[in-house]
Parts: sequence; C-alpha cells; structure tokens
Amino acid sequence: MSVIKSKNKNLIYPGLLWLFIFFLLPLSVILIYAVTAHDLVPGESLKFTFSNFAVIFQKKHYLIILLRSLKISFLTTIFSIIFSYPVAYFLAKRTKFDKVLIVVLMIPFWINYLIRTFAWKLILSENGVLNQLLLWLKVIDEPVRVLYSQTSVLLGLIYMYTPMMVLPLYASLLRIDNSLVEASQDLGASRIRAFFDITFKLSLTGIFAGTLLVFIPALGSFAIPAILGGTDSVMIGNIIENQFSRVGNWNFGSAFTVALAVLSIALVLFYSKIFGLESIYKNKGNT
Amino acid sequence: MNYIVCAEDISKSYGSILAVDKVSFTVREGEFFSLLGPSGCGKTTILRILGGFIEQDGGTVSIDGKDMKGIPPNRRDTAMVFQNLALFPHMDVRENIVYGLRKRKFPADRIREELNSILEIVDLKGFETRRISELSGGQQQRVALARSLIVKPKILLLDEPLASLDKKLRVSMQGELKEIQKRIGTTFLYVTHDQGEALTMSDNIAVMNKGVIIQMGTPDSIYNCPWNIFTADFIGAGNFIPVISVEKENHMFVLKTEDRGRIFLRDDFKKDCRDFPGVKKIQGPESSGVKDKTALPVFFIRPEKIKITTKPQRNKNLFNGKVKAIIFEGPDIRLEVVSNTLGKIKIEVKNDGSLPGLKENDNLLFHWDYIDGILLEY
Ligand SMILES: Nc1ncnc2c1ncn2[C@@H]1O[C@H](COP(=O)(O)OP(=O)(O)OP(=O)(O)O)[C@@H](O)[C@H]1O
Ligand SMILES: [Mg+2]
Repeated sequence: MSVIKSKNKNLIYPGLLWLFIFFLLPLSVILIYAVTAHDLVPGESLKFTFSNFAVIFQKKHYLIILLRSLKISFLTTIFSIIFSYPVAYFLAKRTKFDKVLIVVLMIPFWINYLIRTFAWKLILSENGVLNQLLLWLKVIDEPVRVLYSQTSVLLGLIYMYTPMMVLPLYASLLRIDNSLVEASQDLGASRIRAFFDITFKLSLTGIFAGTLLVFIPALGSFAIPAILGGTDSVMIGNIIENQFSRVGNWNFGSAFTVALAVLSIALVLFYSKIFGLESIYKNKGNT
Repeated sequence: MNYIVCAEDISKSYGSILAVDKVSFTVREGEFFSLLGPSGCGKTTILRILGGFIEQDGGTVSIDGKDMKGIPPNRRDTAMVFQNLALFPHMDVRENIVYGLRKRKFPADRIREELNSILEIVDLKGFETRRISELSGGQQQRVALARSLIVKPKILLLDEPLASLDKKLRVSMQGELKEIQKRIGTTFLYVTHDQGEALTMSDNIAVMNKGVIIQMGTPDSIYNCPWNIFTADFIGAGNFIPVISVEKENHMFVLKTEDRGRIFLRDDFKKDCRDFPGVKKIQGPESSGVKDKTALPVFFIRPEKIKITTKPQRNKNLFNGKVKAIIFEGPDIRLEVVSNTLGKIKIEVKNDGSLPGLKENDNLLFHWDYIDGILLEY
C-alpha cells in the first residue's frame, strides 16, 4: 500500500485532469451561464443576473412540467419497487443460482439504452406487438394508443430503472439472517406478520438506496420522454435539451440545469432525513 | 412426574446426510435437560424440530401431551434462544423483549408489567432504549433470554447460547442461567458441545454422536459411569488401557495389558451405575494373540482416581512409572507418566502441597483401588 502511494503519486494527475476537464470545467461553465445574460465571449465582462431563474418560476408552463416530472419519477419509483421486490426476494431467499440469474438480468444492459427505447416504440405502437397481442386475445376490438403518452414514458422509465432497484434490494435482503424471521415466528408472529415485521422493515435500507438510484435519474431523463412521449409528457430534461440544442438559449438552459440539480439534492437530503438509515435502525427516546 | 417433551424415534435427513437417526428422549417438567455432543451431531436439528422450524422425516414429538405434527412455531408452547441470538437489529432492547407479547396482543399496561419483571430477572434495568449494537455480548445474551422468557413458554429451547462468549463471561452466565431457570421453573432444553457446561448446569444429559443418542442420565452418572468409549472420551479426561484378556478370580476380574501388566477390578465395579448395559464382550478371547482389538474391552480410569504414593500399598493396583510432564493448572496438577506395563497414564492431583517435590524423569509409584475404573466397549 505505502509503496504504491509513495512511488506512484504522479499517477493521480491524469485522473485529476480528467475530472477537471470533463466534470469541473463544464460544471463551472454551466454555473456561469446560469447567472449571466449572454454567451461567454472572451474579453467581454460578465453581467450577473438572476432573471434566468425568475423565468422558471414565472411561467406556469414550466411549473406544470416540473410537477409532471416529479409525478412521473415518483410513479416510476413506486412501480420499480413493486416489480423488483418479488424478483429481489426470489434471488436472495429462494434460489441458489442468484449469482447467475443476476448476470442474466443484466444482459439487456449490454445493449445501448436508446436501442432498447426504440424497441419499446415497436412494442407499443398502434400496430405493435402489444396491440397485436391484445387484439388476438380479443381483449380489445381496435388498437389502443399507448405510444406518445405519459403511460408509454412511464413504462419506458420503469423498464429502464427497475434493475437499479433490484440490485440494492437484493443486497439488503441477502443480509437478513433467516433466523431473525424464525425468531419472529417463534415469538408468535404468523409468516406474513414476520415478513412485514422483519424482512420488509430490514429491506427498507435497500429500497432507500434503490429509490435514489431510480428517482434521481428518472427525474432528469430526456431520451425516453423524447422517444416514447408526446406533447403531454414533456419532462424537465426535454426543456433543458431543447434550450441547448434547438432554442440556443444556453443561459436559460443552464439555469434550468442548476435548478434541477438543486432540486435533486434537496430531495435527497430531505428524503434521507425522513427515511434514512437512522429511521430504520432507530434509537427512540424514552416513552 | 409429567413428561413435558416426548420425542419418539425422530429422524431427519438432509439429502443423503442422516442428521438425526431415530432419537428418543423424554424431558420432565421443570427440568434442565442438555443435548451434548460434538459439532455436527444433530443437536440443532433436534431443537429445530421441537421448535417447529423443520419437520422430522419420521417419529413423533409431543409437547405437554399434544402431538406437534404440522403445528407451526407461532402456535407451539416453545421459545428458542438462537445460536446467533437473532436479536432484531432494528428494534431497541425493549421492543425486542416485548415483541412476543405484542404479537399476543397483550394490553399496554400488562406489557409494561411483564417487561419490568423480566428486566429484573435478567438484570437489564436501565437498558430499555439501548440499541442491540450498543450492548456487550453478555447483555445481548440476556436480552435474547428475556425475549424468549417473557412469553412464558412451557419449554425454552437454547442452542449453544453461550458459545460466542469468552470463558469468564461464559462461566458467569452459566451460573446466571441456572439460577434463572431454578427461579422461574421453566423447562430448559439446552444444546451444547461443551461438556463442562452440560455437567455444571444440567439435571439430565443426553450424549449424542452422529445423530444418535449414546447415553442419557444425570451428570454424575454420565461422568462416573460412561457406557462406552465415546462418552468416556467426550466427557472429561481419562486413561484408556487396552486389555488383551479378562479372567475371573473369585470376585475379581484380572485384566492383562499388552505389556504384561495386571489390573484387578472388582466384579461389582458397576454397582453404582444405574442402567449400565454391562460389557457383552467381557469374556473375550483369552489367548494373547488377538488381532482384532475392537473385540476386546478397554479399561478406563479417570485421572483423579489415581493416587501417588511413596511406599508400597497392599490390596491396591500398584504400578511404577516415570514422570514425563508436570502441568500446573492452579487448583490441580496434571502429571503425564509412562509406565512399562500400562503405557501412558494421566494423573490429576490436588495442588494441596502433598506432591513430594517431583521433577520430570523422576520415578514414582501410583495406585488405585480395586473398585475404581470401569470396563468399556468400543
Ligand atoms: N439445512 C441443511 N442442509 C443440509 N445439511 C444440513 C442442514 N442443516 C444441518 N445439516 C447437516 O446435518 C448434520 C447435523 O447438523 P446440526 O446443525 O444439527 O449439528 P449440530 O449438532 O447443531 O452442530 P453444531 O454443534 O456445529 O451446531 C450436519 O452434518 C450438518 O452438516
Ligand atoms: Mg448447532
């Protein structure tokens, strides 16, 4: 350890450079754009302004999109918990092949996510696989329109981020000693009661970690709503992307980016405060 | 006296491993009963069958006269203290302890009452709001005990609950456990691989090996009258002297050792041993050319039965030997002696100043009474 540290100290510099060029530099550019009125031009002095931010809160349109993004991310998180719990439970408690199955579960991720999102387009379109199947099963008489709606965006996001929930949940379930559940039953709890008292409560750490991994990226997503969504499913990410690549108002786009980042951080902090590890392994005061 | 637990011919296998093989035993109400055996002999399996966590493949278990077949743990009058304690990490001490009462829907004031009295018993007053991780091993131990005792089980099942504690704490917890058991009168079914623990705490012990109960009885009968070499070897220390022939003269067995030693053993040596199965092979081949050693019994004597002397003794088994090692153990001194006719012999004497200044490689005389020792089979 110490040998590596002392002899190869210089190895750290490429890493620092990388961090600087690709992370700190763009971040500072965005921060500067967010609080100025014009493009950065060498030689010209900067005029600071908060008007970019003011616009966000003045236009009702943006507020609606913000709330919608929160709603969609929230639903994505809820559904990812619902879908991943049985999977994670099975992997952690009911099979010996969990290591292999997790790799299998991850195989789709070797494919670019844009391609997978376009695949969903084929599935959900009016003469896509889903409609064909439902028609064939005679569940519906004529094709339903799923694509280009909030539903399709939600489906896409759930599909994309559920594995992010499965992994931490699986890890937390794996850590729960079976004897805890047995002890609970031994002391009078039914199987179901024991599950909720012990397994579920202790897996909240996994749900907590998974929520951060699902909610935050979902909140900032733009490719999935752009490909699968319609006019009623524009999300914050789309506005930002639009400002940068189409409208060309980098100042406003940057302000929106900063606002999203601040919102995400605030949500994480608030969420940790309420649902964090402390509250699960709580140390209650006297009563 | 009522039998609170009746296990009859219970068997359990895991795949091809026969973990428990037709085990039968009974436990009286209020008794401290121990299952004692080496690691992997099936103790935990038996306890888990009694607790209802696994079902036996064959045989019946009845608790308080009721057949337990198909009854889940939450509807059995048993409570288990797990090998790893299994305390709930997300609950504080109080929540852990009252968990069982909550599940039984006790009213809040009853719960408070019961909690107070159990905290008194396990001496954990003032620790109610501690987290489990903030407790010492011994305290965690007592929380686990309290959590199981508070539901007033008919039988408390304890799976090596002291195994993870250091020696000193373990000994003091042994005392406390026994004390608590006496005070509340609950039947304890205690699993351990520590023979000392079983001997000090139990009213009755079942010695197990490889899924079978080898011997059952009180601690002193198990110690003084082991039925076979396994029990004798597993419980305490001892000298095993192979015998090549057994002859009977008057009221005395004359045992010959490989190196032409002669040991006299009174034929009523087992008079203090209840239910001693006897030695079937006692009239084994009398010629000295026996090849199959297991066909012959073994003479067994505890180290503390052997005395050291300076002058020859009449009417005793008397041998001489050379001191190979002197091991000082505080209250006792253990000697390893080599005798020409008996082989290696372990002797244990009290550290009461009576040892006549022995050094290694000194010669000494040792003896034991004709009634001491026992004949064992493999
Ligand atoms: N779930 C299981 N699956 C397969 N084999 C098992 C299982 N549980 C126990 N065994 C085997 O059954 C035998 C008895 O195990 P058991 O746990 O009852 O032993 P034990 O006497 O409690 O040992 P220890 O003192 O080490 O706790 C062992 O050979 C063990 O490997
Ligand atoms: Mg065990």
